[in-house]
Amino acid sequence: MKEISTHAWVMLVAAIIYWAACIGVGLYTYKKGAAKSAQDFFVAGRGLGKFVLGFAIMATTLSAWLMLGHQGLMYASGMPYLVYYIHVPFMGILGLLIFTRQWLIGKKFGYLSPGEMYSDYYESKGMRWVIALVTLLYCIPYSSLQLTGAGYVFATLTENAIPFEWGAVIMAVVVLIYVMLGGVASTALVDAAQGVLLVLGLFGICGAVIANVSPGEILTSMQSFDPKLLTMPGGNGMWFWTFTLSLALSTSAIYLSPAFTIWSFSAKSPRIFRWQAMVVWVVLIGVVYYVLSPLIGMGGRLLFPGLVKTDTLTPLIMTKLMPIWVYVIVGIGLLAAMNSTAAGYMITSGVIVSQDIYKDRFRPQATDRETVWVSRIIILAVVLFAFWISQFWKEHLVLMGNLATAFATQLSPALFGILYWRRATAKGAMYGILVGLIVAYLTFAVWKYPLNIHCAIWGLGANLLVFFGLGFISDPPSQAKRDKYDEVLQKGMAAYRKEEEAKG
Amino acid sequence: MSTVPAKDKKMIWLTVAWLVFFGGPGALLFSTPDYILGLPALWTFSIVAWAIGIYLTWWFGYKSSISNVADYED
Repeated sequence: MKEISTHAWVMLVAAIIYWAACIGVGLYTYKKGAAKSAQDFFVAGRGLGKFVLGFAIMATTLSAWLMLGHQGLMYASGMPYLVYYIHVPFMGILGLLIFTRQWLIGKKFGYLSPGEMYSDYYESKGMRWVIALVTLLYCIPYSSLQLTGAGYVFATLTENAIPFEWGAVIMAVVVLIYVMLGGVASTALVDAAQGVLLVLGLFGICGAVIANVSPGEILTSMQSFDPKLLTMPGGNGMWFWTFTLSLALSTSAIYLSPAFTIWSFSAKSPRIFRWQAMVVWVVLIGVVYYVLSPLIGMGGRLLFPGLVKTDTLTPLIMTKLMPIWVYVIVGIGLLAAMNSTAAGYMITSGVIVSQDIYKDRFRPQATDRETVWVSRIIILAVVLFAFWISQFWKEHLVLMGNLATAFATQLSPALFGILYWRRATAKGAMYGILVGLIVAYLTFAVWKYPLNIHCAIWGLGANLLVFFGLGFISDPPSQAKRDKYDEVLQKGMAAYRKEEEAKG
Repeated sequence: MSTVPAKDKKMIWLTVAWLVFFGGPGALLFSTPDYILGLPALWTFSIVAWAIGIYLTWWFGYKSSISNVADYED
């Protein structure tokens, strides 16, 4: 092994401990019965508690982008970038409007996968295929980006003691082991711990900056910055109001994707979601976005003026300003951010394909044990495919990664139909999604962001036209189905009021 | 939308107005190099948006009918 610094050695040892802990959690949940039945494996027996689910939702939402590219973008953009942060409180509200209702519907109808809910409500087998298609379209490239990114980060942090390809492989194997052992339960438990590490890492980065330049100095110095950094469209000229708003909507729409439907089904109680929204997301992550991020970005301008490749800001802060123990926490936080996002999307792919394609289409008589094993095989296949893409489709990977959230956004109207709008029809939902996917692709790859509006929103606009248009001229689900859904929601709302009244 | 009471509908429209104003054109009014309350104008503007967002999240979490459900006996 080549000679490396003490920082890199300590990082290497910490990473080994971290990986061992991840595998340990997988074994622990497996022994606790996380793979005993399909319900245990796919929705954690509907038993995830407040802390675990609260931080797991957060960790799935935030990728390593928050620690790397995000801080560099604040450096390059300045204050206009803050306008886009409206998505943070908006996601808190959106989560409350959709997670609790999905929880109740999932529990009352016994759904184990998002596709089951979509196809049962819309009374359409085709919905399962469409949901599976969209899920794979965004989960595979996203997982691929996270795993290869983790390889690069690990190679950098250990000064190439472990080549990046090997780093990515080790990371993938670790994630595979704990996801395959304990399904959603182990994914949630590891994600929750990783969420804490991620937040600690961000506080560590900010702490390193303000230890060298105080918030007061940062604020005073900003007055002498290029005025472009204080006014729209920002230092890099990208933050027109149309773009901030459309990107905020697109980012928020990730909550309507199947990965979060699985989290919704897995909760022990719907009250967990308000704790998650208020405490973990809007307040804690709000502080990260609205307070730490501008201090890091603008403080970074004072400490490292004239950066051209601004995404090197976080690595620079880590290597130049941090004592070794902070360096290790932030480094593990970075790896954790990538692992948690990849794990969330890997398990989603496994659940969707095994329940919605394999069991529904090919083996309706499959036992729980069989579907759990098929799910594991699918997760393995997804990871192998993700690696294949990263090696042989490298030039398309960034494009697919950029489109991933835009594709996930297209599921929003169909979910809105299930939760709120009884005129929604299977045809409107399915064709809306397909048209939305095509328009999102065209407004990214062919005509990029026309009128400075994000491609996800162009896709969503076209999707909604089809969704509402066909909603009025095609047949909705049977009256009995719509009445049953309304009845469940009405009774659930009444039961909550009763509980509150009883509490006084 | 039969499961959405009138008071919730009002708050949803208020949320839409908040999102559009603070996430979009409203920012143009504060797009200036000046400082407000010791912070750059757009930073202050964004923190106000966040504070209102915290209130709205609290309302939907604790006061709303549509985002609060409980299990019941069939």
